[in-house]
Amino acid sequence: MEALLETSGLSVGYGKHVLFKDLDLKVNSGELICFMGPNGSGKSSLLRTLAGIQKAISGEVSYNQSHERSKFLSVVLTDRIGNPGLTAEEVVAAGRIPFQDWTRKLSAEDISIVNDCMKLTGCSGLASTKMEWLSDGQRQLVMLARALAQSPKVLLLDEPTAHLDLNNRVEVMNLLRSLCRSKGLSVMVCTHELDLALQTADCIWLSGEDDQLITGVPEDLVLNGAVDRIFKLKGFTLKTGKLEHQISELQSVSVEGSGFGLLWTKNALERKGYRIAETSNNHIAVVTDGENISWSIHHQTCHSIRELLAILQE
Amino acid sequence: MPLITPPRRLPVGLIGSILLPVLFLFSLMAGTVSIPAAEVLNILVGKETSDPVWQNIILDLRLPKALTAALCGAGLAVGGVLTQSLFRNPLNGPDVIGLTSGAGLGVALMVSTGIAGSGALSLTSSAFAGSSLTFLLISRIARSFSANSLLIAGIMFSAFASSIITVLQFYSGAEELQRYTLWTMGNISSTTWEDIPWLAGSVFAGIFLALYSSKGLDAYDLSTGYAESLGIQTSRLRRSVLISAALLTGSITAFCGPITFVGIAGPHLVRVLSGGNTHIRLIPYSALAGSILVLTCDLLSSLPGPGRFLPLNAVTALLGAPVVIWIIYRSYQKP
Repeated sequence: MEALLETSGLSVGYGKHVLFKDLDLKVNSGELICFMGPNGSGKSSLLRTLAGIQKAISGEVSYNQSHERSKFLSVVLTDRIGNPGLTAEEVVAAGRIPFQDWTRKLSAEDISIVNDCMKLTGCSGLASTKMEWLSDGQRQLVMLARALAQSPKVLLLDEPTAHLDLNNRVEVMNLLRSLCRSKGLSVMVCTHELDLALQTADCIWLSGEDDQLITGVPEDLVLNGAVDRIFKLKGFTLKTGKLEHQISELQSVSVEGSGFGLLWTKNALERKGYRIAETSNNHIAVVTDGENISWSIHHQTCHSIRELLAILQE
Repeated sequence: MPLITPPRRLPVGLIGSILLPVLFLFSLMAGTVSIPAAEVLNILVGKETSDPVWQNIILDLRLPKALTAALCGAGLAVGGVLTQSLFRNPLNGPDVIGLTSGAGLGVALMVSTGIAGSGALSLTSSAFAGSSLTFLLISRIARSFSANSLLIAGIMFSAFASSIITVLQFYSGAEELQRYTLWTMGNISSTTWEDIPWLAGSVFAGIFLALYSSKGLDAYDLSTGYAESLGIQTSRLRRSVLISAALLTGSITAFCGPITFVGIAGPHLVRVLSGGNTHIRLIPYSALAGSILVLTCDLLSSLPGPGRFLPLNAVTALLGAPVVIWIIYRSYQKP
């Protein structure tokens, strides 16, 4: 595989404050990397250094490309937009700056790229809206469109989904993955979304333990406990992918049933601290009848989990 | 396809380039002696006129004054665009980097010590010396600090300069005080044909340099980080923008005194009316708007009647402030 970005002996930080030391990283073409780590572990600094915005303390970043950096590498940063009076379209069009001369005249190709990128991220409808009128989530979609308009081969994103709703989050990650697959882009995303990262990334970078990065395939990092160690996950067993509830020994229940009804009933019971046993005095039967679900307990029938929990608490 | 054309867009460039020559002609016609438009045009192209005195009035008095007004307005408005974009603050005028105060300090020092004689040229050179020294100081600061600390340095320097001026005023005589005060009111009528090439040269050089930085400023509008990622060297951009703003403000303040408000009002009018933020258009449009503003203000300053003129600075704000407030009020309502 072709490495689009490589570092050798890269140290990142500010003056005497070294965040990462002697990193030898490789970002391959067509690879989606999720970069995770606790707040303040230096994710943004490393991203800015890889993008050439921040000076490295030592070592170097090489790109394996013949033209200027701005023509193949673009970023989504967490920076606030300096001029909030810019329209979304003007911001996306700014992505074409490296390809424009000093008159900033947009060619027909520039215009179609700008339009395509806005369509791709679903923000075409915002074209003539000023940035100050957009919500944080909409703003992030615009900034993503801007980064794409720069026709990058390497795309570095700093928490691009932080303000997005669940749908958009999944859509943005899917978009990034499909760009990797179809166009051979290299994408590196700093993110706090563990679940999305585990599901979409080809490779995960973990920071926070020392001045090194732990890198690997997501599943490996889960199985060897690296993820648990870094995030010091409390009450969450990553291997099963579920929150571990503190079980009180006070009351046990037994549940019978099937399908989603059973799944969510167990979820509610565990959350409330009941221990689920094979047999118990509190026996719940989940009855699924087409769309309708009912619960029977102590010869009573409930039509919602709320009613069920109320009876159990008596 | 909707593109790069925000709603509510006026052809500002077109309107400006019609309005500017018209106002220019008006300012040559109007005055204590009014001269018909046809005669003015005849004199300008060098034809015979019915009254040779008119020729003197136009060529020796009104033409240099009108040219000064247009150049001043253009330069100050472009200076305003530059500083507003550089400091990312729409309330900035070109005087925030402290050059105007520096020029003021130069004039105050020279006047109160009696070094500057009575001629206009000595005031000009005092002001120019003041603003140049300030520029050297400020650019030394700019080399090692961010835009924000530069702004604070500029404001601090202004405060420092104005307190020195106050001390100087306290110890100076009535005549010196009057000369300094007259200078602070802004004056575009004392420039002669000898001054015009200097003024025009520095204003055109400043605007040209600004246009050269315009692509970089578009990227800088996003953020410093984004600008760097778009291939703009922000430290170099800052330096050339600073030089251009200093050239414009320094030279205009030297020749005409501190003219306030145009630097804020001009760019604002253009931003709101044109709805665009691209500097390659913003800069020339603002230059047009600034020229129009100063020419209008100059026409209005002669309203009190023959032989009496309102100070230019009184008129710029008197006319400009309500207009700007109204326009901003209209435009900042959420669509």
